[in-house]
Amino acid sequence: MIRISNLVKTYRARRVVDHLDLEVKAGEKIAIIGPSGCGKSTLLRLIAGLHQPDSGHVHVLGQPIHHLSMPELTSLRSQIGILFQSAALFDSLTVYENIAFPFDAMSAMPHVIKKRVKELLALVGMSEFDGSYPHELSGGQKKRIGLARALALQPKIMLYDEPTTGLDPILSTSIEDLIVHLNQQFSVTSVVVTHQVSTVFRTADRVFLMHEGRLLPPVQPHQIDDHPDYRVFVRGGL
Amino acid sequence: MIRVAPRAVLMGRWVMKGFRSLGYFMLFTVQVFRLTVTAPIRIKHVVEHAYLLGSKSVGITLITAGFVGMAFALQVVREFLKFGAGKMIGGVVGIAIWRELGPLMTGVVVAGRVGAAIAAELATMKVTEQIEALEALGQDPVRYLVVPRLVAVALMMPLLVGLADCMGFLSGYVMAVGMGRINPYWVIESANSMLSVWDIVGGLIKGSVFGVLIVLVSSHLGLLTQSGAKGVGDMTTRSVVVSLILVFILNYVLSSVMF
Repeated sequence: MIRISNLVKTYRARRVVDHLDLEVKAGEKIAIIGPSGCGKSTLLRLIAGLHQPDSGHVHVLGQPIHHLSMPELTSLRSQIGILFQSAALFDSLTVYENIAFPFDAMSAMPHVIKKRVKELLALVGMSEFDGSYPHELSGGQKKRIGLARALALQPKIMLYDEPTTGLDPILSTSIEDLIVHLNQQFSVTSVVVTHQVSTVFRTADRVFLMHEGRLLPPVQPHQIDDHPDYRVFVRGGL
Repeated sequence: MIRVAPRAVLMGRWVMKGFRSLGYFMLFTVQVFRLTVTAPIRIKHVVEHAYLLGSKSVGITLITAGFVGMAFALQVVREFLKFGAGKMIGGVVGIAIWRELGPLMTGVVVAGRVGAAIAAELATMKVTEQIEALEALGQDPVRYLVVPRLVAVALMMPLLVGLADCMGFLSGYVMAVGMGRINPYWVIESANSMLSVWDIVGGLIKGSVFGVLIVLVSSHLGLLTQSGAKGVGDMTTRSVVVSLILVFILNYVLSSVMF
């Protein structure tokens, strides 16, 4: 589903991704943890083709995402959903318009779009907010709408960038519940990037620790405390 | 081994940085023009931006043009009356307004109001991940955000310049007739004989070119923003400063070539 080999990305002489390899199989749920600024979000953007790597390869659904023409990339991206850290809702559009936005690039009929948006709003429990603007929503509500928008085109892969960061424990749990529910209902392949260990336990089958631009060998969530490097991170040593 | 003075090294880096920035801007400009010509234009977005960026600038453009026309006419009336050249005032004010002051003042207003708004909006979208979200959702940010603004401003600028020209000349007329006691017939007659159609059309073309330049500069800088609120503020300020400088330079070049 996702295959990364020998990936390198440097920002201002700082190598944030350093000869990184990763393979994610269809339907798998992985989490990448690590301290803030270690390159997790950059890795997610490289997977989505939003950033160009210095070297190395990223294959998503069998296609080299950084070597595609614009139409090919657009087609591939319709199969990848991203929940951004800030939700990244478009300020000038209502909740309804934000969720309907991905259909803009398609030639879907208006009544089909309306039906789908209603379904998605119901799925994330925000049906009554369709006419609201992003600035009228709380952080958790924005994430829900961001999630609904990411799911609009029924992606095969979901990428979550710090889905619970900045939310209180109750809202974090509700977002985690949604991610678990989506994984079960639609069996999408998911990559969760987070520095919140509590999120990992509920949303991932395998956990990778990112350190100095590389991924350490994965562990299962319940094994985090058994592995010295992971234990150091969890206890705030990294 | 050749030793280079630190100051020369710094200057070399500064020059290289300038050329690199210019190169990126040229590439961006080519991309915008290519998309404007090849990609389907969203009429709805163009109309929205024409209203937001054009119609809402009418008030400030008229006020600016009115007072600039009055101030200019004030000086011209005083000096021309000393030499007994009162009959030429209408033509001189007309040429100055239609060729230079109308387009230039409109360019300054649009750079300050529209350019700043575009740079701030795009910069905010950049730092809040909205630009990346656009890309992730299969939209080219340049096609979606820049092209409709460019088309809207290019269409609205001649209208704004036309209004500014009329307002500026009307103010000059009022000053000449009211303060200089010039016969209204001579004001109109001298403007009629000294002004050509090209003076008017050329001024409108200049306005359109300024509008395109302002949209390109402010969009480019907005999309280059890297860091948070400070970055948004810095890029907004820079877009206004760069736009203004380029408008003044371009005004000189166009005036030399066109008139």
